[in-house]
Parts: sequence; C-alpha cells; structure tokens
Amino acid sequence: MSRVWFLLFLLLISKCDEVWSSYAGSASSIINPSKVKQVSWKPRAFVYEGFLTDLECDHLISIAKSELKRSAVADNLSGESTLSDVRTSSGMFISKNKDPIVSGIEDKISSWTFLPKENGEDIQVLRYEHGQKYDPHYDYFTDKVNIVRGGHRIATVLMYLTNVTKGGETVFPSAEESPRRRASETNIDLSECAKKGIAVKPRRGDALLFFSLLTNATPDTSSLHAGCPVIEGEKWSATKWIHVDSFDKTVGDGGDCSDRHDLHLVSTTGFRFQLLLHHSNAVALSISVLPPSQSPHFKWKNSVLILLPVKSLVRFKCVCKSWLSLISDSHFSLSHFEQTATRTERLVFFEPSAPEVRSIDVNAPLYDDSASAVLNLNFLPPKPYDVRIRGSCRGFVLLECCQSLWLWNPSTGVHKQLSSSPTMPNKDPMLLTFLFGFGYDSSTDDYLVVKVLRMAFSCVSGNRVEILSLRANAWKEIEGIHFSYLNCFNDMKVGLLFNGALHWVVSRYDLGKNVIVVFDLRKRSFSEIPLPREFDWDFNTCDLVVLGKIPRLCVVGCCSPAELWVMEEYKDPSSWTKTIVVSVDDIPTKYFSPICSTKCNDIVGIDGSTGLVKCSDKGQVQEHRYWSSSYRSEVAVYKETLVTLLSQRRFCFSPYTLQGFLDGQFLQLQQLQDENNPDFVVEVVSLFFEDSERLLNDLTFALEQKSIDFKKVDAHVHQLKGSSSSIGAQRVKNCCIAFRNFCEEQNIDACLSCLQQVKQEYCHVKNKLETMIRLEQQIVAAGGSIPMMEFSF
Amino acid sequence: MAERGESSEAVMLKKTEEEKLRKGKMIVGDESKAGYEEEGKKVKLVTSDGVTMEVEISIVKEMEIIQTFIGATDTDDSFIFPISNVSSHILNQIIELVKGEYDQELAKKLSHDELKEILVAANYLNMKTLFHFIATAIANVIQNKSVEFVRDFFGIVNDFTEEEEAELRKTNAWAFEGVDED
Repeated sequence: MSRVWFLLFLLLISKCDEVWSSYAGSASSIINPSKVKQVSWKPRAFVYEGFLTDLECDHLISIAKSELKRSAVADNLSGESTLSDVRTSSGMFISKNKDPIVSGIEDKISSWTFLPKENGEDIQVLRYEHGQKYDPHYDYFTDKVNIVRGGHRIATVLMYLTNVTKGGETVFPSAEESPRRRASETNIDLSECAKKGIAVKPRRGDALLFFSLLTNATPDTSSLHAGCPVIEGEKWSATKWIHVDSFDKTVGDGGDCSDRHDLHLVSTTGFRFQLLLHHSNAVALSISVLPPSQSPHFKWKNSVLILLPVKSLVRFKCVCKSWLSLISDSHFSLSHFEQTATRTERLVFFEPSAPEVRSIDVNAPLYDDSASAVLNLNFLPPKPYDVRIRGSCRGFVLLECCQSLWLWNPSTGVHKQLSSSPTMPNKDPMLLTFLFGFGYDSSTDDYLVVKVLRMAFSCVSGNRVEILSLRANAWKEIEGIHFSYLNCFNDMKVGLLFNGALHWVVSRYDLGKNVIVVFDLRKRSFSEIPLPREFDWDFNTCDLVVLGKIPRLCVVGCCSPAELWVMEEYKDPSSWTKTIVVSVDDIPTKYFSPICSTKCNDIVGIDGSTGLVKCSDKGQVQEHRYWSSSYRSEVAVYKETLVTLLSQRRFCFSPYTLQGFLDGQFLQLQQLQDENNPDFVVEVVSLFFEDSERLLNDLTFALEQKSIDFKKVDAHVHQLKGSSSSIGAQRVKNCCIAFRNFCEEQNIDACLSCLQQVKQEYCHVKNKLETMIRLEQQIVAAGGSIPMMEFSF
Repeated sequence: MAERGESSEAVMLKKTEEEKLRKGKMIVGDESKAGYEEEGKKVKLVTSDGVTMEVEISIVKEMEIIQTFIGATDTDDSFIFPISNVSSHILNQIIELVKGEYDQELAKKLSHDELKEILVAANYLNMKTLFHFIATAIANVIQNKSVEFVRDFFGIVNDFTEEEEAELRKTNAWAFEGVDED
C-alpha cells in the first residue's frame, strides 16, 4: 500500500511540473508554488528560487545605473551635490509601471504575495559594495500617530539581482529556528554575521518574501532583519515594500470629501482588497511619513477626528459622506475607544418603569441640566415596562427586560437582543439567578454574560453557572462548580468588572461570613478575595466599586456613616485600607453607594432610592439631587464610545493558507466580481460544491460496483477535474489527473485510494473556501457600507 | 538589507543581541550625526518663499526629515536644506510653538488657516510632537462647533442630499444639542 502512495506522490510531482512548465512560458506572472521554499515560520519568510529572469535582473540594474547617472548630472547643474549623495547611498526608486518589464515584475510580486499591486511602494534598487550592510531593523512602523500611506507595511519582497561571492546575506536574528532545520543546515558558506540567525544567501534571480505583520495584523517582532556586510563581490538588490492598503492613495489637502478612497468597498480587486482593508483599518489611524519628494497629501482627517469626543463625532457624521463612512467604521471606533484621552464617563440613569432615560456627565454639577441628555429605550418591548441594568462594559450597558437581555450603547443608540438563557425562570421556577455579570475577555475579543443560579429553597445544592459568549451567540453551562454562596434576597447582585474579572460580594453560607467572589473571564473560573477583617456589613448594604485615578477595587458599607475601603494591591487582602467615611446625615435616605469618581477626584454615588449624591474625596457630601419616582433608579457608568460590539476578529487570511490550495484561476474569478456582480465568487463556489459533491457520490457508487465501469469512472473524474480547475482548486485537480491515469490502467486499489485522496483534498479546499467566504461576508458587513451599525454585530 | 532612509520607519532594536550585531559596523551617517549634536549650532533652512532661516539644532532635531539628511551626509555649516512645502511665516510659527514647549494657549492665538498649514507642515517635516499638538488644537477648536462650521473650516463640500442629511440629524438629534455659536 505504501508503495502505491509513493508512486502516486511521484506521479503528482511529475504532473505538477508538467503543468507549470507549460504555463511558465506563456505568461510571466504565473507563479509556481513548488519553487517557493519556507525559510522560517516566525517570521513568515519564503524564498522563491528564480523569481526573476536574468533579463529582468539586468534591466533593474541598468535602470538604477542610468538613474544614478542622471541625478549626478542634475546635481552638477545645481551645484548641490550633497543631496544627491544621499540618494546614491540609499538607492534608487523605480516608479511603478515604469515600463512593461517593471510592470511585469510587479504583477508577478502581486500574484505571489496575493497582495494588490497598488499596495506596493516603488521598487527600490540598492547597491552594496564591499563592507556595506544594513543594520537590524523592522520594516513595519512603530507609532500610530505617524501614518503611512497605505497603512502598515505588511510584507517585503527582496529580490537579489546579483550573486555575491561572500557575505551580503539577509539575516533574521530573532527568527525562531525549527529543530529540524538546525540539525540539517549548518552552512559553512555563510558569513559570521549570517550565522546569527536564519539567513538567506543572495542568489541572482531569487526573491525573499517576509511578512512584518502577524496574522492578527499586529507587528511581528521576529521580522527583525539585517543585511550582512558584503565581504567579496557586489550586491544589487531590489526591494518592494507592500502595505496593507493602497499606497497610491492620496487625500486632498483641505478636506476633500470627494476622496473615493475613504469609501471602503472598492471592489475592483474583490475579496482581497476587502480583507486587506480590514487589515489596514486595524492599524490605519496614523499619519503618513512621506518621502521628501512627495507632496503633502496625508490623512489628517483620521488624526484629528480620533481626538474628538463621541458627541462631536456623531454630529460630524453629517459633514459629508466620507466623514460618515470614517466615523461609522468599526476600526475607527475601536481605535477611538483605545485613545484614553477622549474617553469620558457618563451615567445612564432611569426609573425601571418609566421609559425616560437620562445620560449624565459625571464631571458636571448634578443640577446642571445641560450636562445631561435624554435618551430613549424605545427598541425595548413597550409593556409591561420593567427594565433592569445587569452590567456595563466598554461602552455597552446590559439591560434585562421582559426576560430578555439587550446590549445597548447609550452613546450611539446601537442595540442588540441577546439569545435567551436555556434556563428560563418561567420554565424552571425553582432556579433563581443570584449573581449576574457582563464583561469582556480581551484574549478572545468576546463579550461574556455570566449568570449564577441556585435552587430557590436550597442554599448549597443545585448551583448552576451559565455563560453567554457573544461571539458564539450561545449559552453554555460551566460544569462541576459547587460553591456555598448565598444571596438571601430575590434581588440579584450585578457583578463589578475589574481587571478582566467579575466581582460580587456574597455570603458564604458554610462559614457564615461575606467574601468577594471573583470570576476570571479569561480562565472562566471562580476564586475568592476576603473582605477586610474589620469590615462588618451585611452583604445587602455593602457594594463593590472601582475608584481613583489609578483604578482600584473598593468595598463600601453604604449606610450611617458610609465607609470606603480600598484594596491597594489587587488580590492582596493585607492591603485593605479604610480611606474615607461619608457622613450620610444630610442624605434623606441615609445611604450612599459610590459609582464612580470624577476627573477632580470627587465621588458620585446613588442614595439607594432615586437620587444621586456627589461627595469630595474627603467624604464631604457636596450635592444631592433626586428625581421623584416610586422605584429605585437603575444606574450604570458607561464610557462614551462609538464601538459597535463585535468587530470581526483581527484576523488576516494569510495568502499562505490559500497558497497550495487555490491557484491563479481563483484570483481571476475574484477579479470578475464587481459592484454589479457582488456575489459572483460565492455563486461560482457554491456551484463547485454542488457539482463536486454529486460527482464524488457518483464516483463512490461507481467504484463500489462488482464490475467497475472504468469509462464511467473516468468520465466522472474528468468532470471533477474540469470543475476544480475552473475554480482554481489545484490540489483537487492534480489528484484527478493521477486518478485518470489509474483509471486507464484499471487499477482498482489505486483508484480507491485516489478517491479517498480526492475526497480529502475536496474537504480541505471546501473548508478554506467557506472560511474565506464567511470572513469576507463579515468584513463587508462590518467594514464599510453605510448604515453599518446594524450589521456589525 | 534594503530600507528607505527615514529613521522612523526603520526601528533599531536595543537588545543586546542587536547591539552585538551592530558593534564595529558604524554607519557613515552615525558619525556625522554625532558631529551635529553640538550645542547652539544652527542649521540653515530655505522656505518655500525663498527665505533662508537659521534654526537652532535643538528645533531641527524634531524635524525627522532633516535629521535624515543630516544623518546621511557629510554636511558642513554652509549646507542649506530646502523645505519647499513650508513658508517662512509657518516656520516662524513652528519655532515659536516648539520654543514655547507646546503650550495650548499659544495655539489659541493661531488663525484657522495657520492651524491647518502647521498641520500640513508638521506632517511634511515629520515632527511628531508638533503634529499631535496641532491635531489636538484643531480638535479643540472644532469639537463643540456646528457641522456648518466644520465644513467651512476644512473647505468641505456637503455631498448629502437634503433628505439624507435631515435623516442623519434626526437619528442623532442628541448630538446637536448644546453646540457653540459659530
């Protein structure tokens, strides 16, 4: 059996070569993946042997040489030779599409990297003579404020135009060497410098491709690289830096709103562009550093707008279409949220039974009505009206109404109903939710809703913990959790989010004392923090809060007088310190429960009824305002943000995931997709799925027969080969080629194993395509179209 | 290894491993740069309106674009750097702002046109601190202003139809409350 596989393997290889060599002559931009060798995976680096022909190498060198000559002449005329010295030493730039050969090389680079041509900078040709080198550096940019045309550099293609006798290697000093490689490759040819990491020797015509960004669009620190000194010979190289977005974009000086590039879905490059766009948005909010020769076109808009508060941004959506599109962009809002300077905290404050909701600026005096705005919750079911706040996180408030959960961004009005918990109170009246929480797990970029339930009449048995992941949009029970917490009241406690964990004060039934129970959102596990020893409050009159410029966990005893304890070191119970005592005599309810601190360190809290109280950091009550109402008000702090819940994952669909599975044919398909035909690729792909599945069934059936009709089998395989090659599923196609040979030989065993392999390859490519299409849809949904808020969950 | 000249783009790592690599291989530019870091030295800049200005090295240091030149050439005092996108008026303003250690009070005295021009110049000269400072100043100017003010400020043409704009204003009505008079 293993021999069959080996034969098959050989066959595949030879067939593969045949196919490629026949293409290679016809079009120069055909990329032969078998010539690509992986140099390292951290960073992702690959060498393409013989990427450029001799002609192309010589052409690039000759352009560079004539350019050098030309600038030397120009400088003689102006007399400013110094400036041109800079240029000769740092190399020449060959403008894009300068001539058909350069353009062809650029096409080839684009086909290989799967990155659009317009994302590339001009090719830079460099000459290194004896002793010259380039110190270790990164190609990506470090600061966000400084943008770059086209966003981050995602990848670099370095083409070697000459052979170098000794030295001149490109070395990745921080690369992770695989053990296999270390054992096999100890190349004595390398210079000392090159031995300091994974090195690539310059060979005329070879090209090195490496990525400066990780697949999650963050800079890859292992992409540090250096050009080793040339020891003998002369090194000519050509570099193409490729950005995540179009490098050709220019934005008008003033605020030219006709600027098309800010409208995101330019579909000429189809899917690829959108992915890259997504990608660039993760990093795009910075300003470009322009080469001196460039005119000052840059994206000032991003850098100014990102500094504005949410209210201004919402208003400025009306300025023009490109502003609307930028401000509505989910990545813009994320970056905006991450800019701490612009974050302002407000309170959302309402009576559960009345649909009037107030948003209050905590930094303004409580009686200043201009600092509060009226919001509405009219997306909730009209009656019976009983809305409760179950948590607040990253600008979103979790509301419960009519046994349903809703997420709501009070700054933008965006809202979403969450799926219902499997344990419905009406189905299971014996179960009570006594702890509720809402938080964000940054490790998975997911929002979580946590519910802890217990049996209504039992304190210790029947605990149940349920978690809703917003990404999965499904509830899950955490099994095997038994704890002896109790909350005697029917009111549930809403968890306090701090340090990536939810916190509640609960009574520990078995020990007869109160503790803070902590749920770590990342680890999804519970732990406890003891309360201060001298802190002797009933758990329904004490509360947790996060206060201070440096946020710290505090516990408050809320009545006569209220006392505040701060945990100086998180999770260190010996660091509990009693800080202030608030005399609640002036507050009619004799109750004060802090909610947040203001910019000038005052503390804002509730009076336990319908009012708000502000006191100084010394505990002096300064203001008290209450609204007439019959119910205790619901209050939550929220940060102002434009963020629309879940943006798509920060994920880059690596060309290398595709490479090997899909060939250039698929790219061409994508290029056929445009505005008039937005679902073209999806349609073709689903046809391919249908066809292939039918054919695979037929094949399976045909091969199960006692006497096999090989002609029929061959016909099916032939069809499958046709449909797979039309979509560019090269591995399926190659399997089919082998399959047909065995059909001819009427070799049943080989045919059966071919069938297995074809099925396998088909499953692989189907998986890839489905992932890709899903991603694309997510990106289109969240990335740009105009009322995008509705779609971006 | 090929890399464009801007030092901001190529990030040197200061880990010991890289230090080792770098040792004994000083770039030509490093030495000449060292020579330029003398106190009180001035650099001559020619502005777009043809004025030659002597600017203190401490200020020029913030202009990364010039730093690139200084770092890469064997210039002497007589060398003149052309900054073709910045007028002498704007360069003077920039010098004032840098000397004034970026006091937002100074920014309040600038006209709207000056703010915009300085932003463009800061971007061109690659002065990061100044760029952020001016962007903040502009954000402060416009944040409480009306949509019309902003269009006027940046010279933006409204490309919404009346209905579209009315709809947007309606859905976001709360954001239009408490806006400053233009």
